[in-house]
Amino acid sequence: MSPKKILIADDDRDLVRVLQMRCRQLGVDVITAHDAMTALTLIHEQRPDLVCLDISMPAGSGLSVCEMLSSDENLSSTAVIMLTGSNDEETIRRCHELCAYYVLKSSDVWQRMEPIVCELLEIQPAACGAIGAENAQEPQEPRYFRRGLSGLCDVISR
Amino acid sequence: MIGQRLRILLVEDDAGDARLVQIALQKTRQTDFHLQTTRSLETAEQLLAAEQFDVVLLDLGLPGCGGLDALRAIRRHDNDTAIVVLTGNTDETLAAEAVTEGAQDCLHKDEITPSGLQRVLRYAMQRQQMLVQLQQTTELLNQKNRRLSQLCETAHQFVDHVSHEFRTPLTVIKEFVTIVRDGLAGQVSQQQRKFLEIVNDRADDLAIIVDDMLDVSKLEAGQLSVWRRPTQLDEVFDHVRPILQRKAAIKEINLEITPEADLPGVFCDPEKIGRILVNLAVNAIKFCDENGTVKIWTRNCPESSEVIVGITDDGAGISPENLQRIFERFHQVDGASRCSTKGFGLGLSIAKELVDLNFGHIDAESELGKGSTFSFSVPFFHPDELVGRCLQRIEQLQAMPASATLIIASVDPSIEPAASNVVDEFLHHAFRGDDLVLQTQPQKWIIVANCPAEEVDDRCSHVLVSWNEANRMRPRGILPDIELRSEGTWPIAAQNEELTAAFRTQFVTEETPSRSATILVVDDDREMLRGLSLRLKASGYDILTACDGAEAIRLAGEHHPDAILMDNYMPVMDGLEALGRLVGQPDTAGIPVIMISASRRDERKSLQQGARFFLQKPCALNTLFSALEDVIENPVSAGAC
Repeated sequence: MSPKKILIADDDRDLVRVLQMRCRQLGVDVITAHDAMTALTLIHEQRPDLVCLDISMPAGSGLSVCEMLSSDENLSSTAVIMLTGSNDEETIRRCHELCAYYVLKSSDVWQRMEPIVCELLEIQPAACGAIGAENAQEPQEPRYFRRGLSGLCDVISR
Repeated sequence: MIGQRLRILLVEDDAGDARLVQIALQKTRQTDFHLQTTRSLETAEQLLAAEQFDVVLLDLGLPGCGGLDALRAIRRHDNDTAIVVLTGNTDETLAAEAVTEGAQDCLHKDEITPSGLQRVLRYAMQRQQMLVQLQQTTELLNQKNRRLSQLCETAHQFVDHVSHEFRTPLTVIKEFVTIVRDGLAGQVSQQQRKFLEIVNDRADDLAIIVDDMLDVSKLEAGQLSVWRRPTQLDEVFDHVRPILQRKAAIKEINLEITPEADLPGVFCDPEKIGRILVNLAVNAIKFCDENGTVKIWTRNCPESSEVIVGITDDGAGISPENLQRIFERFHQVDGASRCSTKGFGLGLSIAKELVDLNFGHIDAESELGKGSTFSFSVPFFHPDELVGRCLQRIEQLQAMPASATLIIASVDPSIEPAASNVVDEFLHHAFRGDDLVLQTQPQKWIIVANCPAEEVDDRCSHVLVSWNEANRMRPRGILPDIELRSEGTWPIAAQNEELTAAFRTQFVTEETPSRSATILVVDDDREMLRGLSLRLKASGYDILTACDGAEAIRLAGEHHPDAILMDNYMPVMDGLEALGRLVGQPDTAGIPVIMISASRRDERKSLQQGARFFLQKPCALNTLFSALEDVIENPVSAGAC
């Protein structure tokens, strides 16, 4: 079975790099983009299983990429995580309306993203080997409160 | 005024009356005046346009101009000149009306005396000058106000824009630090790990400052909306525990988080309560010395229908003078932040506002040298009580007498739980923090809005327009229409009896046919759990809930539900393992289980382990309900081995 593929799009290259490292550790293939147009093109070409988008990017917003995905028959089932520095209500609601997961930057981003990525791609969380012992005992962070209810979202479309 | 040349325009058609005025004027001590007499309104207007006069003496009995028409006519063209009306009429109300319409005084023709006339003229001019000045000052103030608003807006936008730009670099810092700390970039020594934790902690502090600044900005703009809903406080504690434990560990402080067991359900916005807890705890940790203790506790107060949440530290304590001002914005106490980020002093003022937004109150107690306790209340989920608190708060916020309107929002009863949740979030956003939005059924909300009768229609249509707009842009199909109906408006008074009574009648749920069956719903996603429970309850089922496999097994053994709906991916013990155990125990083996999972692969295993049905997420409610009905009617499957 071919490995799962994630697209990570953010204009901050360092952030993309660190997330890429984390995803590769899970055994997931990563493709990257630094603006909305490239992201959209790559999604069309390579059909990733999961897409992680920043909202404020050059050449368009992550939200409009997400909108375009939802209106495309073939791509509307792609899972989306919106990773953004904006925490205003409008943005969060918009993410929910688009059935995307919402993760705020400057919280413990990977700690919040990893469980979502693992569940969506049906893979096990990173083995404890490379991680220090005390982290293995860290209580599992419950999901971010306002997770988009992607589980039942498709039902609404009928 | 005496010694100044006074230019007077006398508009009088009767020669005799005019002569009287002239004589009186000549006999005054005003030696230097220029009197122009004209007999008609038209010429008067022309003269006023051409020359400057200090005062107009206007006869109200001019031919062709009834009552105060002449006065109005002159005022239309000229706002600066003082006007004294002359009348032969003894009507007092006419005099009062004349002043309202722009005259400075009214003189009765029979009472014109030199000294009287002089006084009237003098005061009329003075008044007129004051009036003109007042108008100019008002205009100036308005201008300045507009400018200030603009500046304020610019400042807000700047703060917002700059603040949220901090977040990406902070994230990058934290993520790289975490990667190195976790040994993913090479081995790390104990000391290196400790140092990296300090970096991480300070980055967290910066993030909190950014959050605080953005929140203050939103609070000021009245843009912070709250999403209050029935909440279990231990959900909130679970959410903040890891962050606080990390902070305490770095400062080597003992942190004890000990909420009471079996706390009743409360009504609040859990994220806001989380923020409050974090702000208070971060302060407590800051002000403690090494090996100090911070305790986070709860106290159930049924007599006041609230839960008190408190944070006690044994640090330096706060002096009485500081304690009085402790919740003021930007107020900071000196001398405690030993290796801590100082911040802007926003944390406590934000905490206070958030507590208030959640219908609670916040208190601080302290003794220098002994320590401090900060506590706040969170109300029970008792709808009656909540209405009372909401109204009390509106009354306190508004300077003028306020009214509250009861609005019912409803949607199609067949709405899916996820969609219902979207509507709930939307309604909380559309109605602001002052209003109380209570979901009573999946398809019904009762709203107590801070809104007078005449504004209700406007408000409602505004909300509906927003909903339609949001709907239009929804890529996955539109959500059902929301219907808003006002049940009446009442002034907010001490007892609010009528409003509460009307509220109660709305709250009585319709008789749902009881299906006399109990379902145990198991899912670690609390939002999902709440939505599904509401839906099942509305269909007449009794519900038990659990968030992990272990709890599910315990509840199943204790209560013997008629069916179990279980998610697979859960902490502590996942669904498949729980299923295996349930089937293996004699007292729970007979309970039919419906497994729900996003992964198709779990289907075979589930059915093998003994699940009656496997449903793949996302699954339609109808499918779910049919499966439930089937297993309840047929507890033992026909082909079970």
